[in-house]
Amino acid sequence: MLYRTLPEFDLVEPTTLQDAAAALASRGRTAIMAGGISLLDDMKRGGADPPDTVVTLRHIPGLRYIEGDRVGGLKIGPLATIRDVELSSTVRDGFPILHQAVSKIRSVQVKTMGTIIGNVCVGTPASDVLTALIALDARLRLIGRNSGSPLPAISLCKGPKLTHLEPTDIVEHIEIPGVQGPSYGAYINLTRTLPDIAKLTVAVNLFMEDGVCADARIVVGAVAPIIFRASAAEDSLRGRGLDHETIDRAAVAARDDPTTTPIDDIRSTASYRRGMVGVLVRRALEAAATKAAAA
Amino acid sequence: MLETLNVVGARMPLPEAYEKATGRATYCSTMRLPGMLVGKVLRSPHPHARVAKVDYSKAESLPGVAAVVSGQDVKSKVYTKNVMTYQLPGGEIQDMTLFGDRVRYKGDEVAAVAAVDEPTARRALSLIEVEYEVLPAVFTVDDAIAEDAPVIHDFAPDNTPVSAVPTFCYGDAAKAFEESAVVAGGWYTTSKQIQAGMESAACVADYQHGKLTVWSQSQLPHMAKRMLAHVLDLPEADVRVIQPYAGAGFGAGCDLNAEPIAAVLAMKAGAPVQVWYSRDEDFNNRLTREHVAKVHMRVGLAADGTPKALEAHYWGDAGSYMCKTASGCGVALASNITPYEWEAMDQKLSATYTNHVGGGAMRGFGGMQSSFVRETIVDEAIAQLGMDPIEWRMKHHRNVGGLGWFPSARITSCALEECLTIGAERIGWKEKWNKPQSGTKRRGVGVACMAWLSGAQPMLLEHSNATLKFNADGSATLLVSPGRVGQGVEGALAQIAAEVLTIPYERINVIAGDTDITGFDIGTHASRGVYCIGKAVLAAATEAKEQFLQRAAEKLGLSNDTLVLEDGVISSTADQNCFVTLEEIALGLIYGFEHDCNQIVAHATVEPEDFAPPWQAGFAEVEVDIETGVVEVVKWITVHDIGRAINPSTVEGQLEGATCQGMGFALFEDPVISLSDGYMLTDGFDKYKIMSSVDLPDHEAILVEMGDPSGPFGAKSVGEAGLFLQAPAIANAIYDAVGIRLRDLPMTPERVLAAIQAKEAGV
Ligand SMILES: Cc1cc2nc3c(=O)[nH]c(=O)nc-3n(C[C@H](O)[C@H](O)[C@H](O)COP(=O)(O)OP(=O)(O)OC[C@H]3O[C@@H](n4cnc5c(N)ncnc54)[C@H](O)[C@@H]3O)c2cc1C
Repeated sequence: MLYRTLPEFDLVEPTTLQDAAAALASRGRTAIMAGGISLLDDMKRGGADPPDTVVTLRHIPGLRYIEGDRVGGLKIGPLATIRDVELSSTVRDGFPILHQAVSKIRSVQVKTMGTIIGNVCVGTPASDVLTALIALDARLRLIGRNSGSPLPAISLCKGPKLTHLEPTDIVEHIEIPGVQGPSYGAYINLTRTLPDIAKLTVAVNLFMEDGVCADARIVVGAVAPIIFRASAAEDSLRGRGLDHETIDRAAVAARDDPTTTPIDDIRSTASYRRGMVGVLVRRALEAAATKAAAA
Repeated sequence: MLETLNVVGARMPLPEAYEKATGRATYCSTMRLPGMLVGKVLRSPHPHARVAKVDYSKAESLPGVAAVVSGQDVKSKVYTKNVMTYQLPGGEIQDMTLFGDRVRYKGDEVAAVAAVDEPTARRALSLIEVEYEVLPAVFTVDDAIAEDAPVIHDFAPDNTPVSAVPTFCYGDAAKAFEESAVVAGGWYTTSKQIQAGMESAACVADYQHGKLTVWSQSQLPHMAKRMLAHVLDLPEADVRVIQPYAGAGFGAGCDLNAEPIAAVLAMKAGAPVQVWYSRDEDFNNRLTREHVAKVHMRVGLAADGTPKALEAHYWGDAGSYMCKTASGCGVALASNITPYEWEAMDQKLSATYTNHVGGGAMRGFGGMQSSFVRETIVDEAIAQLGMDPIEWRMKHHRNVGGLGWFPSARITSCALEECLTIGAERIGWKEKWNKPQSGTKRRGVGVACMAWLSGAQPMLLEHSNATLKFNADGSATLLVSPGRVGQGVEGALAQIAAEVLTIPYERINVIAGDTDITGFDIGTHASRGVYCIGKAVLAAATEAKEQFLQRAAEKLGLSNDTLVLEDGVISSTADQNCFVTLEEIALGLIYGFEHDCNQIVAHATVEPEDFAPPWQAGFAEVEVDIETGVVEVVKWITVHDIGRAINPSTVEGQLEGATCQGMGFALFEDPVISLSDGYMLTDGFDKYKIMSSVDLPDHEAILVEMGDPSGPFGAKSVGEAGLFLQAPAIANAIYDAVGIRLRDLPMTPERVLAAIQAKEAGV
């Protein structure tokens, strides 16, 4: 395609989530719009099947919220922007991994327009936001579906920019479960320029009991079709203290994880990315261990 | 020290600043003429093919389509988008034909339409039926010079029309190498950086009453006019090129884009046509930086450090059309001459065709590749001798009267030693250089130097004209024709005129960028604006001053040489009460009733003889992460020998902006060309990253003002100078930090880490 212009579409502006759901169900090829950054860009690039109806959430009152705390858990509404989350003291103090991750997004315009939920729903394997949310075991509450159990963020994607969401699904909020005991995390990424999309993302979240790692989440993005948890690395930490050897072993396990299958692209090379999984996981674990030791 | 002046040297606001900041400035892309049509280009989907047939009958009959053009509508004239070619008979290689029967890269022009709006134009493009006979294609120099490579241009059966041509050689290099104590060098590669202007390629053409007017982003409006007359077979008198403000420059305006196509469409449609590339179209079809793909260089130094020999072979990847690739290599070689006192130089250049977009010009033309390679190899040789790279440079640079860029030119001024001294102090060279480093993050400092030019005289025609026309109130219109690419030259030219005439800066109204109004000017390239056009303005203003003095002498009944001009008043040196103001004189010359009206119109033509090299030292402090290969520039310092800063704010602005581009070239800017079809995969700013404000490290631009005897008020150039030294100084700093020598640009973390690992493995 040599030209980028927005194709024609109908814009529906519901004022309640119910009307939004009804509009999505009753029309042809539909899409939800939050900030519109990814959606409109995709439409301009002329994907195979652009929506003919766009349902914007922007006129529905009460969707821009970040509620809760570390112990009780956090809820993020559909119109809460990345910037809102970055500036939230609740997030900064209670969920520092998420704070660190959104702070790595350096385009203020993108953070001001873009929503957290919109970012997640795109399903890109290089999302800073989704990497951090998986480390926090976040879940997506969908309207009118799975009324009992929300969808774990780790299970959202099936491939690059492919999610299990139907076009009619609306994410009502993202919830992060509360944490009782001590946990220590870190978020690191690598980019070409600071505002660029990451070539590699890593988040770790360690749960400590009596100086021993009771549970661990090690999340790696941009080196496989979807963001994943390096389970062998996580296993290697459980029940151990955070000494250098243990950390090194976990980092190597993440690097050599069968799911780590990076590619060459314009941002980096497969071999560099693979090597860096080991380095970044080690550094993230060291950072978390330092915090644990200081606590 | 230079004497202090009134207007020259002051930090004046640019004349265009208000218009631009308030959104009132007009650009080719924002122009709207009554009845203006949208032009779109049909581009080849194949990297190499014969165009067997083009049938546009269906497109032509689509309602809303005003004109469709292809090969059958144009005279088949061989031409080149490199408008500089047209300054000399013969010129550079011309290898393009408009809508020719052969396409040579994916995106090459096949046909075009003009329609009432963009959707109609696009629909019309899809209705054009083209039969292609697809040919094999090659995308790298190495593939293009292989035995069985497809021939891209019939006149160059080996795809290399410029093959190892000796350029700027002197002395006995073989002997000088034999006498060298150390020899360093090897093969280097550099990136095909993109100019990355905010405005993608845009132009408007209108053909009325037998006269063609083209609004173009060209930095060389008069040369654009000559090229358009050639390709369209029109008398030059019937072509007028107007340059509104351009939202893209950095060399991108040195070659034309769709101007000939817009013109052909406008001539057929009988209405104005605007062609404005979309961003991906721009990335893929606007000529990139002159692409010096590979460089082989060696230098030899005597045991005491004396520079013995420099040998180089610059090999350009021309892409599908030569445009500026060979001349880029030539300039690269020329720019190696000035900095150091080599006993012998042996240089040659080659340029090879491949099937991707051609290489045009970008700021730092040729000098980028030279500075990186030369300054890192020199650093390597100096290190082998165990010398301090600053001391070596202090001692062995050329000096006033020494060999210039082009063999007949001589150096007129040199403040390199001052630049080195100031920069070394600011960066903390003594404390930081050559200090052993350990740990994961290692710091180092590096230095590099260069000498550039202020116009490419005497090699190229650098003819400029300036006209000052006085109003009855003593203000003046200054007619000049630089390229208007946002570089601030118009303000500096007004400062020069205001200084001479002792009138306020605001009273000089600069009119530029219209070939029917202004005198001839080559335009903006080779960092020539303030120096060359400034000399013309200086001469015109001096001539105007003489005319004022003459008239004052007549009115006051005194002789010229007893009069002085100060603050807009001409008075007698003997009697302060005997005076007349410029305003009174100007009024009388236009509205006098004594039958002696004679409006002051002063004109000057210049063809400068000297090239007035600005010198520069660049200093980098870096921190290298040895586990990730990430290079953080901790501090950047440019110390620039400007001669005299006509407007220090613009000079600093030029240097700081260039620091961004230079760091991009050094560290990450890399247009990725597909090896399967030659298409540029990095076809937007989401993929092709340039430096943003958050990426820019702590940096300083320091000016050294010692004057140049040939420059207007001592000024030399700054347009390109600021972006040469980031790559070599950063590379040298990386060596200081971790002991690796990088030979390929950009120096990405991937490459840095690979080099660190190779060093550790002892490879
Ligand atoms: C220049 C640039 C830089 C960027 N840098 C980064 C970066 O560094 N790190 C990073 O992680 N991301 C980055 N991004 C991605 C950016 O954060 C996302 O594009 C943005 O957050 C999307 O949010 P949005 O509100 O605009 O979503 P929209 O474009 O409105 O929607 C995106 C998708 O989500 C769907 N959707 C939105 N809301 C809902 C909902 N409530 N329920 C169901 N589906 C929904 C839409 O239908 C659409 O498919 C960058 C993007 C750009 C353009």
